[in-house]
Amino acid sequence: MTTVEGVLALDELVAEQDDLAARFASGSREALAEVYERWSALVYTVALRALDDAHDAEDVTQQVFVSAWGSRHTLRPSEGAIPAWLVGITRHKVADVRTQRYRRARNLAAVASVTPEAGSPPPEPDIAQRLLVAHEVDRLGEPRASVLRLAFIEDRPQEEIAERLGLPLGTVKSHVRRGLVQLRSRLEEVDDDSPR
Amino acid sequence: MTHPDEETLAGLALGDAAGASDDLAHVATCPSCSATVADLRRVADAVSVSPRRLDLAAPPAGLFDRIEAQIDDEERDSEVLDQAHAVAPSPAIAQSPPTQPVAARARRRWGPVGRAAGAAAAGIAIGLLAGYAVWNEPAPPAPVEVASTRLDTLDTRQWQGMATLLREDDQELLSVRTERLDAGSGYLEVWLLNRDGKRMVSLGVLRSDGRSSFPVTQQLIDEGYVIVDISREGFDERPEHSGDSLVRGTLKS
Repeated sequence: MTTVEGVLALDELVAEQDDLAARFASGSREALAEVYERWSALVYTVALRALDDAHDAEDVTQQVFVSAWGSRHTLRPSEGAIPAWLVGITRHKVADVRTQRYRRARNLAAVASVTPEAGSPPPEPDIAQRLLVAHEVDRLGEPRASVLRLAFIEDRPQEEIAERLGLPLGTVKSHVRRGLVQLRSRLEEVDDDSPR
Repeated sequence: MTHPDEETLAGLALGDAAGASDDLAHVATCPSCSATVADLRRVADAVSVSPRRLDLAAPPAGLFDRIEAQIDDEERDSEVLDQAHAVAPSPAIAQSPPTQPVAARARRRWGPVGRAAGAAAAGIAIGLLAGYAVWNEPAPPAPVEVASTRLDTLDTRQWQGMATLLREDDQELLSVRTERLDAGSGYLEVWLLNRDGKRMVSLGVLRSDGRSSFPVTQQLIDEGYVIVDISREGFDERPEHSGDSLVRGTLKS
């Protein structure tokens, strides 16, 4: 099969990402344009799905890239984790918009003498995480991405996956494990303190 | 014993641990490995709830231009600031002559409140430039009343005061005069609520004698912020409206 080629292609992809991250971090406006070109749709879609408002989503997207540029020195180039980093920033911006909306609603409830509900804004459905994971699964390349989708989303036994994709069972097992390990390293960024 | 590699841990996370009892025993006692297994398990769970197909929407055309423009603006601003700090430390800024007398500027911005403060300052320091500017300025045009409302209690509609929107020098000012309202253990805050029932702005704190003026803008009024509301607020960590409105009225021209 194409495992060797696949691994090579992946390494090249990772190297290219690292280079892009390094150029971005060092202040290259071309790198900014490239990052925008590649990931603005991901950022915009996360915002759109989370906020359900095209205008707010556009606003958030703009803030995310301006803010990413402003804190580019915090991007660790070695990790090749630009999308997770961007989605982390997007989450913060989305949360800000949600908090503003919630406050506004609560103020009005207060003014209308309706008892406001105590506590923090309602929890954000984890659209960001889901879209990012789907994006990262895509980035694993084939056949690894298909193996993971079949194994986890469709919950197929590994034997069946091997048969469907015409791969040896050992290869399927290895794709599943390596895929998980790769995803873990790329998703790490999201939950920590991304710049706001 | 050395730690099993991540792939092995991924296998454990997935439960296909055939023939790996050593590894299992290790993970059971190793905090770092068991954390990794838990992490990998979470990743697997995250994949299982992710969409099968990723349908991304493209942001509107022209957004990148706006992003670049904003970045350019911010970088220019920070350069100007840097230069200001480098070339002109605070004394130089303080010495640069103001374009108009301090008192006059204060009046422009604050209207009667600023003028009262200016006059008070002049009383204390007669002969200083600030006082001179106040006393020698031609009488300012009288403020024009644009709109007003009674301020009534919400429940029994009892008259408690008036709010008047004044215009002077193309500046709008909301002047509030009320009876002594009970602030309880907190303070009184003046708000403008929007007619749409969705938006509100805080104008500031009402003085204990019930007489305060607040700068507003015609744009705010045009936007529908015409309901004057005074609330009782506690000294707490909640900047938003407490919900405890004492009086209210809608500005009418």
